[in-house]
Amino acid sequence: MTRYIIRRLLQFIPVVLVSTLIVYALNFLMPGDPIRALAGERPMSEAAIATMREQYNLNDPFLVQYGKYIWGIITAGDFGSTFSGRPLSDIIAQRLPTTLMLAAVTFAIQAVIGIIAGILAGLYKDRFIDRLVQVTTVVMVALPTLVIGFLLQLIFGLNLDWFPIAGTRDGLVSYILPGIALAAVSTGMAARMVRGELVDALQSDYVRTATAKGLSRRRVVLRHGLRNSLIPVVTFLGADLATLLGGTMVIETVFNIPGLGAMIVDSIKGQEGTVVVGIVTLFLLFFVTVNLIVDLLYALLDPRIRYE
Amino acid sequence: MRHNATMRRAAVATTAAAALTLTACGGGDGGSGGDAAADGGTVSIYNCEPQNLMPGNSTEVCGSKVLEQLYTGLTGVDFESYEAVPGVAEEWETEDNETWTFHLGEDWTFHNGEEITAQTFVDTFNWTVDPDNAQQNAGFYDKIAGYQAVVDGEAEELEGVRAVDDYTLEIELNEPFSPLPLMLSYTGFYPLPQEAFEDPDSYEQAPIGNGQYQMDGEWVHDQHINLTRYEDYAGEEAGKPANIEWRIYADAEAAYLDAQSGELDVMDEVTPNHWGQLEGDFGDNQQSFETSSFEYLGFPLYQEEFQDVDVRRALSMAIDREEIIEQIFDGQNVPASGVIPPMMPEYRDDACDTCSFEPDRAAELYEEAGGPSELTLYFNSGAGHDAWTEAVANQWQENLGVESVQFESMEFAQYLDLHDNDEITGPFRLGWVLSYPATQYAMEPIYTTDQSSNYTGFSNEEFDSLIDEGNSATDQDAASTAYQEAEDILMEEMPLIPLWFKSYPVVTSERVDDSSVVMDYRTFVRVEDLELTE
Amino acid sequence: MSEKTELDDAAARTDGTATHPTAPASSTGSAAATPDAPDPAGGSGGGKETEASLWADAWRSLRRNPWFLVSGALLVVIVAMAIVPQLFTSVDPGSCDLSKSRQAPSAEHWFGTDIQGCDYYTRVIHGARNSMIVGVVVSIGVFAFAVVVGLLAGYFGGWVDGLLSRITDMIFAIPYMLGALVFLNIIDTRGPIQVALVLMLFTWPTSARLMRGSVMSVVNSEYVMAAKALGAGHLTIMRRHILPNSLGPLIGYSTVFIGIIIGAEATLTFLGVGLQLPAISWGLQLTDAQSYVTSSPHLLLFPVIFVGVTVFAFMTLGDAVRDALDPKSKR
Repeated sequence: MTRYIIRRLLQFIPVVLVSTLIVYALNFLMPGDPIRALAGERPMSEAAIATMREQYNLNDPFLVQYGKYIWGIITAGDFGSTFSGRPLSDIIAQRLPTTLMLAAVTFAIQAVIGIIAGILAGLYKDRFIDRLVQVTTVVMVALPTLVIGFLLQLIFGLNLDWFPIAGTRDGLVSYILPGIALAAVSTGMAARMVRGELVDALQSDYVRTATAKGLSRRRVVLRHGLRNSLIPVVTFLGADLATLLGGTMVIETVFNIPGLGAMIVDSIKGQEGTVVVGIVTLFLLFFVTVNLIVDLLYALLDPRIRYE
Repeated sequence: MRHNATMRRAAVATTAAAALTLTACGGGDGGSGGDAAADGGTVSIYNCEPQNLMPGNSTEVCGSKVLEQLYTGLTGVDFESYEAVPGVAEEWETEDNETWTFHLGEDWTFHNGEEITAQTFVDTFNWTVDPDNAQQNAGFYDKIAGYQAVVDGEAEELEGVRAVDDYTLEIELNEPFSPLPLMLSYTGFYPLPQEAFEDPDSYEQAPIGNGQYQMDGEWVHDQHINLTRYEDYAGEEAGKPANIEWRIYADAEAAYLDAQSGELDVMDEVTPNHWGQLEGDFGDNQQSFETSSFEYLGFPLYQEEFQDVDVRRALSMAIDREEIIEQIFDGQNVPASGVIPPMMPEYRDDACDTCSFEPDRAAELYEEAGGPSELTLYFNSGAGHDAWTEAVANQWQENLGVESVQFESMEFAQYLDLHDNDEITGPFRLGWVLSYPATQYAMEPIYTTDQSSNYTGFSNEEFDSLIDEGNSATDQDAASTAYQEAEDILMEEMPLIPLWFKSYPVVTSERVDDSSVVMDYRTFVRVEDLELTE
Repeated sequence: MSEKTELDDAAARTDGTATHPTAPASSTGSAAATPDAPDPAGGSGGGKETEASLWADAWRSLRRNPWFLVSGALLVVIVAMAIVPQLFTSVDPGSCDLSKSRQAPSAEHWFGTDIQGCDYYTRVIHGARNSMIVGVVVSIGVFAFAVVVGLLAGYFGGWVDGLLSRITDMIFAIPYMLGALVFLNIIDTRGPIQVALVLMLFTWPTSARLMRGSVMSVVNSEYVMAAKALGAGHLTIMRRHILPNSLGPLIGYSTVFIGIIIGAEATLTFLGVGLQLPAISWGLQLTDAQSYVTSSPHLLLFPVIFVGVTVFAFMTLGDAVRDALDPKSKR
């Protein structure tokens, strides 16, 4: 087990290095001079531009830039700074908790609502509740995240005034609408999965046997059916937690949440290579770690799987 | 000149006195909002995340808005007459518009107590222009004698800025430039304390200025910037609200909804899609302000298709500005009939013969001149230009028989790159806001030969010399005539299609007294003048 | 997880040859596997028949599935819309009258008019093409690529799997929206094909992993062992035995995936890097509409319905196909 974890951790290194290199390269290839664009229609003086280009290593060849960047991280923990001179580590320290909070709320919504809806639909297959869940699922999956976000703002934020429309001033409550918007697609997927697995399980021999033995149907489902049904859902939700970070780019922008997702969108537009790569690196580390945890969790839930 | 300035100062003093009596009863520095009547209360206002909070480096609106209240420059601007009024300088004089003497007030200090003298401005100006400090506003100093030497690294200090004594500042220019007092009101010329030079990065987290308001805590990135009234302000007019809370939003849409629910007191960046519903959403708590924000389509004059002036005129006349404004901007923008903004004394509503919608004349002209049957329209993406550019394209197709119009939208950096390399192949969208309210600034940087913001490549000797004539005229009328004649040449040659001057609706919460809301030519709400009713 | 399967594979492969290939007593009770289990005497001739009967079985069960019929019919309509929009509307989508901007639905304009004053019904019908091109091109491209990668990785295992899986990980680790955002900023023209290619580039790993997983679950089954023992070539085994039994999950996912991609196109447009004007697409319509949702909700409503119905049709079709191919659901 320990050996397995160490091996997996070592495998992270090339994955993270190559992925960041790809993102850095893409950023490098973006046309135009980001420094010049800072000042808008009235350009800054050539001398000032030259000073800044020098300061941000923008005159170096690509691999040297990347090398200096990685070297800075390794030797000094220096993730670079934005063009307005703010160290990236500051930005991360400030924004990471926000994004993690959003991710946590989203994950909770996915897991709780997805699983409950799936169980209900599975238990009452082909009945009204099942149809309701199915239709809702289709609608949620079919609407693009950003449209869901805007509709939620409008209905629950503005018209009903149940939740704050935007921002994070009100603490946990502020994260609910963006959380729902971000969770919508995966909640639908999770519900469908649980339903499918549960329907399968309910038809399986062991559940039939258990029911025949006189155990109540509810008990059988909760004890036996559910446990087996949850494995694929856990895997899915775990893997999804990582892709969820991609979704934060849109939702944080729509809901004005000062997290890393919104930051990355702005940085790409402003061609702030170091910022983009810094945040992406963080996302990657999160992603690979979550994937590892999911694999380990998998073993925990399914006794048939063991890691050597 | 001197006479004028003194008179204006007297006028301001009267209004300031009135304001003082009104606020005098409050006195206390109530930090908490709510009971506004006593101390002016706390007003919250929309903002975007600033690039920086350093006057010499601030070229975008988000940062500049905040700096407005934190600093007072040598001069200020009267928002009704658009003339220069005293700031730190009480009066000024010049014989030839080339050598200027500013007499500074003697009781100015920074928020940290540091005294402000003529040397403060000498140091600030030198520091800002020094290329090592990479300040984006350095270009604004290019009229000051010795600018080029400092930029080229041949000199350490600006030859043309001298402290004659503690409270007398002399500024010598390369050439006569009558709008200097107006220009000095701009953000890039605000005075900086010693602390700013020592550690600029940490300084701008909580800038120490000399304005009506001081920082209340640090700049909390992406969340808020809080200001509190500086009770020892040396200027004549104290700010009205006790506290200003700049709320930073990533998305204007969200701020609009917050304003609607009363969470946010003032929202001044309402996107055009809401303009039609302002009355329904806000009742009386909304009003629209005309600004100097000018939108135009420039022609890449270096491309052969656009060298015939008739093609340019036809494209201009084929655009129904009124209809686009009516449908897309809810009738709020002001159709442009020239390049000088309506609030300037030199404005004329008939400066342009080919800016009105004349489809038949346009079609005829376009055909005779053999205008291109395919066009590409360039604009910067993500800034809400999609709807109106599409409407313009539809009108060209409809009215000129243009077969197809392609669109190229891109991020600003790439956009500027194409301009630098002369790779733009069709009309391109750009905008221009007056950084200081001078007619000179509405034209000189964009259309004179080889200027940094001249993206069309327009070059006309007569135009250039008329601008020089306006800049050096010691008589206001002579200057106005020269600027108007310069505009006539532009409208004759049409290196650009003037579209409109943008209006900005401002929506407020119930707490704000609507009559106290003023937006200036730069599109900034004068937050220091806001009054709360509660 | 991959670790475990790799180990199991190796064990299964060595064991496989030793066990009795002639006794395909499928312990998993796979109904689909049974007809496919090669008759040792029949040789390759029997293989062809059983393969055909597998698809025939699936087709038979599909035809009886009402959901399949409904979704199939919907898709025929939508695809027709994308290919020949003129069938549905005779109005030129380019003829717009700005003075009629954002009118509510009426007898003259069924769906109302858009910001430019164009007939919105016509615009939405014409929007199908680009959205479908993006959705279908990406799905098919990703499907094909995932089949190849998943098959190679799952079938050969070892270093082939190691290499392919690590490459997959690297792309998988970059959120596709992020990759697309950066990449689309680089390229000059952004037509449906360009957008599709970029989306493909960053979305294939999920499908490839799914395919690899299902290939692994059949690669060590008895009938594959049997075929190997009989000296069948790798290509033959993959085509005859592995592919038909492992495609189900990927087909199911791919149809849902089309829906996701149609939404992604809209999101990219929102972030300013999607299709460019004067293109017409549901994504562009949704983006424009969201800013006018309070004053002109019809602008949002109609493209949402069309995107929703399209995604619904693909998803339902996907479910039906998966059910038909999945042996477990045939009880």
